[in-house]
Amino acid sequence: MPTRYRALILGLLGLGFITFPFLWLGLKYNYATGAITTVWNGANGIKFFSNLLIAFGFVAILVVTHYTNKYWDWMRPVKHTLHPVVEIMEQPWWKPVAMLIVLSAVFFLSDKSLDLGVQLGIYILLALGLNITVGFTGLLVLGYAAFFSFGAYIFAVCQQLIPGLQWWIAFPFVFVIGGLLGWLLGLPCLRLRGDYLAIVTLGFAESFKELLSNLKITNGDKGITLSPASMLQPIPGLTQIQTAYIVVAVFLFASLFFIRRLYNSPIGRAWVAIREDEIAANSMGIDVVKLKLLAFALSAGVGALSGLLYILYASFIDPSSAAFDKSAMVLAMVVLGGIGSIYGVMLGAALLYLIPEFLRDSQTIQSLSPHFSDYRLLIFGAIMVAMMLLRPQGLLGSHRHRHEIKRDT
Amino acid sequence: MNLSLPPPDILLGGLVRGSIYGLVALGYTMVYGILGMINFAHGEIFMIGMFACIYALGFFSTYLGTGVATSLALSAFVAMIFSAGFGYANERIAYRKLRKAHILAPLTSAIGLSIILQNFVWLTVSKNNINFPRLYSEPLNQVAFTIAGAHCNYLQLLVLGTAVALMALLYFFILHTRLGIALRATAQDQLMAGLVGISVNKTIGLTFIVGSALAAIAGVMVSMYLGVAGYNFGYIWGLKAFTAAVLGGIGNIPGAVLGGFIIGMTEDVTCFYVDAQWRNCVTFIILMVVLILRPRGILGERVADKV
Amino acid sequence: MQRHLFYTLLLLIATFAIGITGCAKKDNNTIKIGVAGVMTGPDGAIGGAMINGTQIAIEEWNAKGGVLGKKIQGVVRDDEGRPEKAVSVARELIANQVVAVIGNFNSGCTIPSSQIYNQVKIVQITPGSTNPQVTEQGFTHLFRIVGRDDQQGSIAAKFMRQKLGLTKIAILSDKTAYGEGFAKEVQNTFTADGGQVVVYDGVPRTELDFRANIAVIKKSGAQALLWGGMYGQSGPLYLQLRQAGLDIPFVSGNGTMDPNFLDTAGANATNVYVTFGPDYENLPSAQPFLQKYRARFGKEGAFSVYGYDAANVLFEAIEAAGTTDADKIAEVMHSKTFNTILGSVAFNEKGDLKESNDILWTVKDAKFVPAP
Repeated sequence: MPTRYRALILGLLGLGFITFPFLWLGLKYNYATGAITTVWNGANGIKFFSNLLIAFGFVAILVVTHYTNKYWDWMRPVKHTLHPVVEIMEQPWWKPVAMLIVLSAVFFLSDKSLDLGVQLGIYILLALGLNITVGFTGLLVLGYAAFFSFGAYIFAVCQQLIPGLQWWIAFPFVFVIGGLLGWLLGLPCLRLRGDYLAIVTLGFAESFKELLSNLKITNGDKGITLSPASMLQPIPGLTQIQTAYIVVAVFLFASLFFIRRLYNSPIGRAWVAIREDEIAANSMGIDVVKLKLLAFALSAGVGALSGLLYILYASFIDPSSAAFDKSAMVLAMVVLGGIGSIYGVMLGAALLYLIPEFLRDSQTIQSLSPHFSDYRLLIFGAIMVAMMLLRPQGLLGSHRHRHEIKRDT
Repeated sequence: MNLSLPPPDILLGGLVRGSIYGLVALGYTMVYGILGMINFAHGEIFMIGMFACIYALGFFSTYLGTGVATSLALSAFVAMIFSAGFGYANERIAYRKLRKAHILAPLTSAIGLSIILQNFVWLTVSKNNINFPRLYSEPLNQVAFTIAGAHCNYLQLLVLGTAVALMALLYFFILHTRLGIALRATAQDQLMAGLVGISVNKTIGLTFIVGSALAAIAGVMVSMYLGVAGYNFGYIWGLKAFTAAVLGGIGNIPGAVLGGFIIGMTEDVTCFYVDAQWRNCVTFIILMVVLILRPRGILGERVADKV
Repeated sequence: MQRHLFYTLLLLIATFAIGITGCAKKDNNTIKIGVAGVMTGPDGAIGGAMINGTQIAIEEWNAKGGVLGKKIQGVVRDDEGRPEKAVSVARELIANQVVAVIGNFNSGCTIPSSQIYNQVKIVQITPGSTNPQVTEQGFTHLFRIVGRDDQQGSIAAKFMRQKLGLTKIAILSDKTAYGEGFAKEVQNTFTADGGQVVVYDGVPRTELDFRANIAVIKKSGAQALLWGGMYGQSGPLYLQLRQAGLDIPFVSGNGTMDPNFLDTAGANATNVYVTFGPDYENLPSAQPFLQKYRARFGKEGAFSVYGYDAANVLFEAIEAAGTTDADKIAEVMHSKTFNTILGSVAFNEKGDLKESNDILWTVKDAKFVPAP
């Protein structure tokens, strides 16, 4: 066989081998004796592959369009139409206008889109918060969801103790106490670097989750629901979901503004210096301990804030919100979008949140294969792996970051 | 709270749990030792071992008509092959290209892989837990002997024995065989190992194969021990096993075993002294305390991070 | 390159945005009914069977011409048995403008999601949630078509205390609203009856190795084990209990009532008692449904009948109200008596069944049979 196809053929043969029992055999139990037999079940495998073809067809189109650009620039007309948009985005008045557009969208969007918007906003906020530690300072935190549920639980518990507690009174406290928790976690972790820090934060999140599910005050695994008095009160003239959308959008803009300013300030530069080389940064007179703790505290504070927004919107929280899959999801958003880049992180959050939602709801795909929504997480995982292989620095990773991450010699 | 000694069946249960954690933890620790990356998909390999074994049991009894003992032995072997295949494929597909990349890249890729594998089994095998066929697990669940009122069955003895034997074998393999020496050399310095004629790619592939095969054995034993297998077992047991590896000192083989035993015992003893619902909490708090006081784990030798 | 990618991504996001907003089309010729319940995860079998029952009801009504002259469209969503997910499913169903909701299955999911539905006053009828708290919240639009845990719990406790004459029992639960609620009820009734609960403990929902708990139970000298939880954990728990040489009665609530439990427990499971509704398999009124179900999905789950009944009651109420207005439907449901395959059903002011029909079941020759 030609050598250039050998790897492919071997790979396919290998795939056929290792997936053989799961795809082509069906199990039959005999409950009286406890014995087990198998039957050939070709339909199962064919169903799987046909669904997968439809699924990956979608991904393949993206990849192919990406690569055909080299030979046939079909993107040119698209670029022509999109060019004015990009031009606008470079204007100084772009940001206020964009904010206005996002805010006024509340009157045009359907409830369903607003619902997506609110959840997306909360995820973007979370990803931005995690980006402070992982992206700016280079501290790998794997238990970020703990801060999220901490913020939500503070409010949930306090509104039980103080009936009628309103969120705008609580939010500065949630931010400060969340930050304090981050600072406290940061203290013992200063000696740890790299993976060890990741593991300790993971352990912290897991024990925090277990604590939540065992304590009386957090109502165990059953979770807490907000009392009607403490729920988000709609602004007169708007529905509740519209109010939630506006609140989340305002918080998002405020955090974007502050995080951006911080990143470009001496503090942000110092964080980057620590990320690049801690020893050098230290010898240049940067107070590494203080700045690392600040990064921890700020990141935890933003996480707690997004937790507060989440419970305001969902009016319910339970310990599974601190589980590892949520932390991993937020980390994936940061890594996929481009570590350290604010726009990149926002993009990563948008893509990772919207792809599964889109795959679940698209009528076109649904009509092609009715069980398609089952495959969405499979495709999601595949996109994650493919993305890392093709662009390890993330979608919009900065040039400087790319050199650091690829570390090729 | 009572202060009497825990009954022997609690200690035995803890030991068995611990040795299973230890077996799975070996895979984490080997990959970490050689590549310096956390292989989050390892739990999924463990889960694939369970299902491969159940399918192989059905296949052998249907098409070859072998007896109970032969089928079981053959199926455990098949499970090892399948898990090793998946483990090796993971390395080829998702990690090899990222070996020199930033630590976050293979980590994300591993999280993606673990999502893929979990959903693959969820879609193609079963969305609910499936049973381990009783015909094969029942003979092993007979009581072997009784100490102080505690029943010890053959399966528990088997789990303990296999775990200890495999760990000893692995330790010997790493310390005293040529392949083991190549493995340690690669862990120390990949470039230098390559220069002295060790095939780095093959050695790393071997690490994944050995670690995955051990996870498969653990998977077979867990599904026999619990009576069921499910697509989310990899996550539940994998996280604990990973904790064990970290507790004992990640990258260190006896450490992984020790960590496994400590966690298994802690869980069951907590169940006796405090309450079952607190056992995960106690486990993770012990992990945090150990890591904060001794960042490299109980038996870890490596410095906290490569600078 | 940077630019290039940016264009591609902008395009991609635009496609997504169009794709997602494009789905929210309004259709005036159908009535949307939300169906929420657990379809995957450890409770997937029992919840999925319930939703299959609901689907058969929807198809039957559509074959008859639908409700109010419009076809019924079931919007089926999986809550994975997780309260957090159930809340977002509730949001989604509301955004989809459903008229009423059938679900959820787990009490832990129904309690938070019912609060979301209550905000917009959507009629919700749950075929599976038995925790008393579900209807104690005082919602006027929430109904339940199964018995409550306090009724179930007192049946189980009285059975152990009076019929079996036990004095010391052990209680384990899975810490969810359903499991712990049921366990609490049994504990209260049993101790009030002069019995003693020697072990009361909770295990995480993902735990399947109960040997340490069993050792504690063994040491405590309990005469029976009461399990408050679902069949996914009941099977391994039962197996391990017997392996440890404890032949004490294993008593559980309706969460264990699933064929899956029998599969795991094995052919010679004995001394198992489960509380559940009436024996539908021998009811003549249930036969057409059971035949239809078995032809299509195989063996029915314990809650398939409830899923079917819940849907029928809801559609009858909509038909009787003559409108899709939630207040009217709720009013009809509170006042009317419905004929279901489990007998006639009426709701009290809380939304509970006026008469509970729960009985005690046992396992004989790998089958659930009513206890003698």
